[in-house]
Amino acid sequence: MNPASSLRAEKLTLAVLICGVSSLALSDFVSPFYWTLSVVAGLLRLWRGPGFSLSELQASLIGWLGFFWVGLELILGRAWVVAFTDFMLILALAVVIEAPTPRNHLHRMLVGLFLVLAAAVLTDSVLYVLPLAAMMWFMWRAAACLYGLNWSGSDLSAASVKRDMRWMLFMATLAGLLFVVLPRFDVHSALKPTQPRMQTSGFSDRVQLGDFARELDATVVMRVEPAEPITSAEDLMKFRRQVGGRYWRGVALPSFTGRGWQQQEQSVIRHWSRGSEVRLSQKEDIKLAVYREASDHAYLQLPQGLLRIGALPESVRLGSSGALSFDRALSRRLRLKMEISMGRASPFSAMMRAPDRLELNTGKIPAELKQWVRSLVSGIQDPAIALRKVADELHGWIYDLNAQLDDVQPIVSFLEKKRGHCELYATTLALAARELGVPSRIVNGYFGGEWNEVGGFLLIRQQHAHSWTEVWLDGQWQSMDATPASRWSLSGVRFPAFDEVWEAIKLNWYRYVLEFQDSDRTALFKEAWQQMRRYGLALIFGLFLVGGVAMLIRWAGTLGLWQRFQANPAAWPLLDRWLSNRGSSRLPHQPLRDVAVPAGVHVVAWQAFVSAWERQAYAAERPWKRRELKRHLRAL
Amino acid sequence: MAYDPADLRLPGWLLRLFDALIRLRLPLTSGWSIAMTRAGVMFMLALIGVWAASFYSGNNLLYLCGAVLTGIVSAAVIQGMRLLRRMPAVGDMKLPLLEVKQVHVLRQDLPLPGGTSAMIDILGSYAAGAFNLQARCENDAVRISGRLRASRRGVFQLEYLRLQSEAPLGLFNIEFRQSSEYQIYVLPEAVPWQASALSGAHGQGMRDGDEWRDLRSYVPGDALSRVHWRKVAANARTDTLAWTVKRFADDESNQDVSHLRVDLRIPPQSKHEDFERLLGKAWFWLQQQRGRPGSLMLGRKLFDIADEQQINRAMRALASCRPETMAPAAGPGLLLSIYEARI
Repeated sequence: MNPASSLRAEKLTLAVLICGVSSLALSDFVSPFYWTLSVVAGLLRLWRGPGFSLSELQASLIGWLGFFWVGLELILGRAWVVAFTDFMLILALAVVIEAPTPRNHLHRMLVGLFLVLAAAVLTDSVLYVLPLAAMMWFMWRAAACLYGLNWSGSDLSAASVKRDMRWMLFMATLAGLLFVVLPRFDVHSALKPTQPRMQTSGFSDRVQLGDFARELDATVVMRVEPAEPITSAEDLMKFRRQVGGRYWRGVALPSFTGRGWQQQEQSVIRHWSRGSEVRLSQKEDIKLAVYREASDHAYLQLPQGLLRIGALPESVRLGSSGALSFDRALSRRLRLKMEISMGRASPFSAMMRAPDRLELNTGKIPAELKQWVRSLVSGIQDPAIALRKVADELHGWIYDLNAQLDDVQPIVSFLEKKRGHCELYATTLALAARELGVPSRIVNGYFGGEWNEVGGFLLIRQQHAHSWTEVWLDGQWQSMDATPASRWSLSGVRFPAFDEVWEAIKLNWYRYVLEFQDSDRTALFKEAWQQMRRYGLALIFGLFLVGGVAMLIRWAGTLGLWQRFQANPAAWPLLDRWLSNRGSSRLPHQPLRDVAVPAGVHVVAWQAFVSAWERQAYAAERPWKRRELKRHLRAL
Repeated sequence: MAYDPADLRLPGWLLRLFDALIRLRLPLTSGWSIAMTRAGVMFMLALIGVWAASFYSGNNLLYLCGAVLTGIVSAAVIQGMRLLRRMPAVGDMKLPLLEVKQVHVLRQDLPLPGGTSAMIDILGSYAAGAFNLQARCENDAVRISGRLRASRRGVFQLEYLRLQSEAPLGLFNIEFRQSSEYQIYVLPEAVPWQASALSGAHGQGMRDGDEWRDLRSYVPGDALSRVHWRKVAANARTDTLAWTVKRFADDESNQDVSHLRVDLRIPPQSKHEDFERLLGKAWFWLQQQRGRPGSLMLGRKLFDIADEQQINRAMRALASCRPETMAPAAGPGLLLSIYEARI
């Protein structure tokens, strides 16, 4: 085996393996220590070459040690998925530093491929496309390199990178086409729920008040875009106005514990099976596509004015408190099609049960709060007006995520300091309502969101999580929000401009890759056809133009114009300077053969030089580079 | 090549299963078929697994992986097919003229644009034998090399020409079976003989003071003293195995042996080997004299050996020659006969 070919195979197979490790590193289920170890070992191997290696026996020993170590991890309570990825990465480490044998090359390619496939199940990051594309390239080159080794005579030389790039383009196009065209089958539901997603939304069906730091978490929870493409900027602006500023209702919490809120056992009002649609009204209004990030809870966040949810990915039930939840938590990303009304009133309100004793329970209300409410609304008989006054009072307080509160009596502490976060405001208002004899509860969900200008969609982040109050007035549950408006000016996004672009890319990744469905294929073809009709003429003209330019460049290339253009401007000034240093000079565009022989140069040598110069200058030979000209001049 | 899953020390039964799968050769289109290598079996099993998981799970990233791997497989197959299709036709390969029981070494460089690095097996079959050549493609050129040997004389239609390659990735063995109109001439084994010894005017040795006029290809039986060794050495540097022999001006002066008549009759007591030997002598003479003014009369057929087309016809006639019952037509020159040899 040729040492150069062997070294090339070594680097290429190592690259395949590193692609696998990198793709798995994108998963939430991987310990950074293990993948860092493999990557560092890989880089060291690249740097130090095959000298940095262990024998097969030593490498297999590492593999076996890894096996037993992972077994121990499982006994100690490590999640099986994490233990599995740990083992795969320890194996990758062993393979990285194994002696470079044909067996090792195969090990690397197999392990690399397996890691990439495992990562397809364990991650959904848009960055996954990078190691996947890199693996396609390196696997092709590595397999071609291994194929070319050990033939009789000598190893085959490597194919040119330029040529392989063309094939790479072909492969990528074919892969894209297959991805779009191949049908999706329905059996996926049996496996999909088991696809683990570590990410948690932070959304909770309980509230704990007290002194602990809260942060503005910029993690994305939902992305909301028009279900059908909007082309005009005006329509997009209208959509933005209509969808923004809505409450996204999650779960209602009726039971106050003194330090927080808990959910109550609730009866199921209605049940919808998988694949059916939740239709609350026959009206059709604004159509949304909602991309819900992977989450560990079963609640659906319902926008104000919800009319319909189409094609449920799993059966859902409507609880008596108006919370819509899946029968089992789907720990994966979901795409839901919804319709909402222009107005904010939702038919859901009418389906909620009347308040029960929990929502009127005043047992845990602190005496300080009762006294504060009485002093604030003294003389007001109408509970609705009294509640409005309480809310107005709270609106004037300070929003503070990290207010230091008493853990035992957080509400009392809040009343003293007049600063806190939304759960404290919602709790205070809800307890004030109960004190006034109005049934109340708090609701956890999201509010508002931020508009992504690049992608034209609404982004709801963890920092938009919110608590507000529902009170029973006029025979129905009504929302009231006591949180100061200053809360919505806060943001935890560090690089907003970059973040907008990045989120737009991610949405496209979700839309066109992760959540691509059969229905999208039809929409894609329709869209392509529309675009074709719209821009077909321009496209044909553009193709002709590009083709013409390409032919012109090719023609110029055959005439050697590029060589002249590239070579001479760099070479002529150098040559002219050299001539002037030797007492000779050349006028612009004067051929070199007409220039007098420079001082100190033999005539024969000069004539040979002129001849060689003309051969390269007029494209009979490859044009000289600058250093080649210097070499010729030194020889003179 | 360093690309065999056997290196993974797989269990024997699995390797046997792989080998059973390797033997499956699936037709693609007319003349094309495909089989897997051991590495290809592993790759295809992985691909099937990925697609099965994709269809089962509906996981779009697995779909993407499956599409990428399918892209690699498709590109490998298409590239392999393009390579075989672009291979020079058998007529362009310039197969050497075969002689009975002689081993002929072929080593030839031809242009093959495309920049593919590959090894191709070229398998040909005809009634008198088969040949197995190897083509090494790299750097926009292909080097075809191998040995050819024929068992009997004749003009044979090439039954098929099979091109096989595992390029570019070593995953699939693609075969392109060409039906060809190409004819292979298997000539008799050349029998050196001294025409001058018979004529008394012409020899193989170098004459004192004589200057060589030009070169011709070496013919088995040529005197080694006539081989132009410096030319052979120069050819060897360019990887062409062509021996050349000097021709002297004095050779031309002997005009009477530029005409040869061959009597194709066989006396009843003669053996078939005698007939073959007779043809071998004619073939030897033709090689020595080709390109010079002269003629070969083979039985009743006359060939002008100064004309390249006529020489080809003469070779075909020599290859397919059968004993005749009639004496050769009258004419000048040397008569070769099993009965007798006379001027």
